[in-house]
Amino acid sequence: MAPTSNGGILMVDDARLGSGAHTGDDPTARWLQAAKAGDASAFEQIMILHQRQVLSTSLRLLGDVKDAQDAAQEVFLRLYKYLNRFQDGRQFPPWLYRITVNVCRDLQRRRQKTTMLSFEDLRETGEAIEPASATDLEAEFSLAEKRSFVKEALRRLPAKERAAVVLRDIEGLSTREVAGILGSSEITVRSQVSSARLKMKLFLERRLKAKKRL
Amino acid sequence: MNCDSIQKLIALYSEGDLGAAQATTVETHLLSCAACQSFLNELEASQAMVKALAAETLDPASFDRVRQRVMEEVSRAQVAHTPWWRLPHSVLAGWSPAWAVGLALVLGLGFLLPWRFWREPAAPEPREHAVASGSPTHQQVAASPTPVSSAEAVQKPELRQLALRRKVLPRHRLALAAQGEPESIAAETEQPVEQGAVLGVETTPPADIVAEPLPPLLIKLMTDDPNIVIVWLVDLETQEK
Repeated sequence: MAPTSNGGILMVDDARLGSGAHTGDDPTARWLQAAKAGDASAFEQIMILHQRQVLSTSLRLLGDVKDAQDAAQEVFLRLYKYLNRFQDGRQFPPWLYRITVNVCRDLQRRRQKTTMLSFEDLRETGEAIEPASATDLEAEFSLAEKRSFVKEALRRLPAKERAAVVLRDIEGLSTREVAGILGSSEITVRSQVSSARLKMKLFLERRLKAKKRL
Repeated sequence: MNCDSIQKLIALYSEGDLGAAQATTVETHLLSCAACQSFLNELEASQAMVKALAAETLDPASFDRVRQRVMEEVSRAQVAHTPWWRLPHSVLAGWSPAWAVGLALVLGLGFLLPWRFWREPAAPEPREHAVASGSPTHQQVAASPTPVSSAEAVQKPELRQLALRRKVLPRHRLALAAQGEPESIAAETEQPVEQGAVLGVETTPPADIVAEPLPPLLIKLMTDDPNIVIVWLVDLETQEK
């Protein structure tokens, strides 16, 4: 079933986003009930429970801390505005992921800050394209370097591939869940994820060779 | 299946994203292709780096900043949708200077406006005196179909003026009125006045009642310099004319 968009909030009526997973023990469900009744402190509790999800996903998708903070703020404000549209019995995190992806996409469009770099740019700059070995990747990169290179690789991905690989590989969602969040098919998500993984592998190997030259 | 095609599947195979049949195809190829086996190892290494990003901790201040900004907006939205009488005391207390100024303005205007537009009603002419005087103007008053006592006329001068404007007697009926047949005349002469009709005869004030001249309105404009005061006198009678 195709999702419908309304002001960046997709009306979730898609089984891929999960349903029936709420139990009486789910703290989010209880806070949601109270927040829908106008309890601001309950809404703040929802934020505390899910702020890492929203902020880290925004950071991976946008690549900038300040932009990610702006996006997270917008996500929670949209959540507050459309809280009553969330159907009880649905899983909350996928719904929140969907808002987050839409907000980040809108923010990128508004600010026109989509990175124009691509993986082909490395060839033009004459950087090495020989692949490095797996042991090289593990040994040569410090933790900070690894993170920096991965972030740069993410920025170079097309937006749809970036969203798919962030949700699948970094946030750890299933292909089915990612498809539900992005509003596409599982086949499309697999294709996007496969392409993104190959591009990122290539990029990281090139970065290693460039570092070795220095 | 060649190596290029199989590597696209390896990218999915490395994370368990393939179905059983495709996974078997990849595994069969890997057993016979050292290059693709090496490719798989490299891919797993790069995937480990990508996944490690999930362990990156974010600055707690970022969470606090976002949460604070959102809660400010939420509070603002709640105040905007709450009737003022349900607002918490703390919100209203913050506006106390504005409330005080607003209340003073309302009270001031409530006191000044009636004073500015109120007029002392002119003393009405006693009806009995008008009939006795025999002047045409006073006979018109006597012929009014709704006789008004002098006491009522004093209390309601405006109503009396309206009555005079609506009932205009022809001159040949005025004599009958003077002869003591006011009721029959009144019945004949009571004609509805259409809206917008021009009413001809106005009563003039009796000669023995002289209107007191209105005192001029004195307006003082105080400037920052205490030695400079601008005084403005307005002749209200001239204004009314």
